[in-house]
Amino acid sequence: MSNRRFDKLSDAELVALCNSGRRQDAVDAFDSLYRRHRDYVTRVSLRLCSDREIAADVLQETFIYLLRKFPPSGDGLVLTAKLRSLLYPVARNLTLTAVKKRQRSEHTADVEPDQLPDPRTIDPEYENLAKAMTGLSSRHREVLLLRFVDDMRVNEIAEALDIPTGTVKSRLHFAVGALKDKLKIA
Amino acid sequence: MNPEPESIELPRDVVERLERLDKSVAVLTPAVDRRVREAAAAHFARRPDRVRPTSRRWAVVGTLAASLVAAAFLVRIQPGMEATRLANDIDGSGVVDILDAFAVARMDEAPGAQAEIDALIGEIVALNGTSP
Repeated sequence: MSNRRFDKLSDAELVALCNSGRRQDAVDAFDSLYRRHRDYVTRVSLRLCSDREIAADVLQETFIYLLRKFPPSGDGLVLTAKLRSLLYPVARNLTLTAVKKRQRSEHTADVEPDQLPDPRTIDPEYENLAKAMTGLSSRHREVLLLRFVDDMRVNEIAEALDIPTGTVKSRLHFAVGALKDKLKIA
Repeated sequence: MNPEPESIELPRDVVERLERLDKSVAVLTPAVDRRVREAAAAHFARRPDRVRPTSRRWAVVGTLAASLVAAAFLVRIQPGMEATRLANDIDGSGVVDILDAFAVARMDEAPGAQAEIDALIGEIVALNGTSP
């Protein structure tokens, strides 16, 4: 049977199969989770650095981390929020660690943790928006993307970034105002 | 005091452009795909082929799955029971499998559905020729 047979299941149902399903069901369920969130994890990494090699490594390490949560090596995973709330901090931390490691080994500053894809390579339709986003600090850009692109709620953002909800609220409030100013939106 | 964050909004068109901008960088990762799949196969290969369910809910799902498979087998050897086979194929896939058990588990979340599940279990057990 195709390993796409579980694609219609929810994340929670796939996680349950990985926790306690039979061997082949667990393999197929994990594959569905991987294909469902692969692009997201890659994008998270590319938000923080423009290095595709690092993003590919982060993608692999993030899902190996997730895999180890499941028996027999792990105790099993209990989803208390969206799976992306768990994947985000893992991908974020792995990316920042990889960027620092590369900077140390190469003694170069050509990869900045805050760097977005070069606006000059972006479709002109999005050029103003890309420039406006680049003008925000990484912290403000991050909460903006988590809230409006990833559709996370404030408590989920707070959990993903391991910061108080009040901090998320204030960063979000400032980021929205700053972006509107840069785009000249009332 | 900051306003409620869920009420902090951006214009819809800006959000849509942000989404497209964020997704505009496509990365193909066939080598990573292969390594992750190999890691998953190796990880779960160490697991017993059958694992004891960890909660009553999953015990119910497991029992249902096994019963549905047994019922499907019985239906195949008894051509006159076609209607019963279709009734147990909850998701309409044409195959009675673990996905049907998940579909029943979802029914479990609806109020009053437990009685229907109990009736289904009774019917399946009766098909197996034993008392519920």
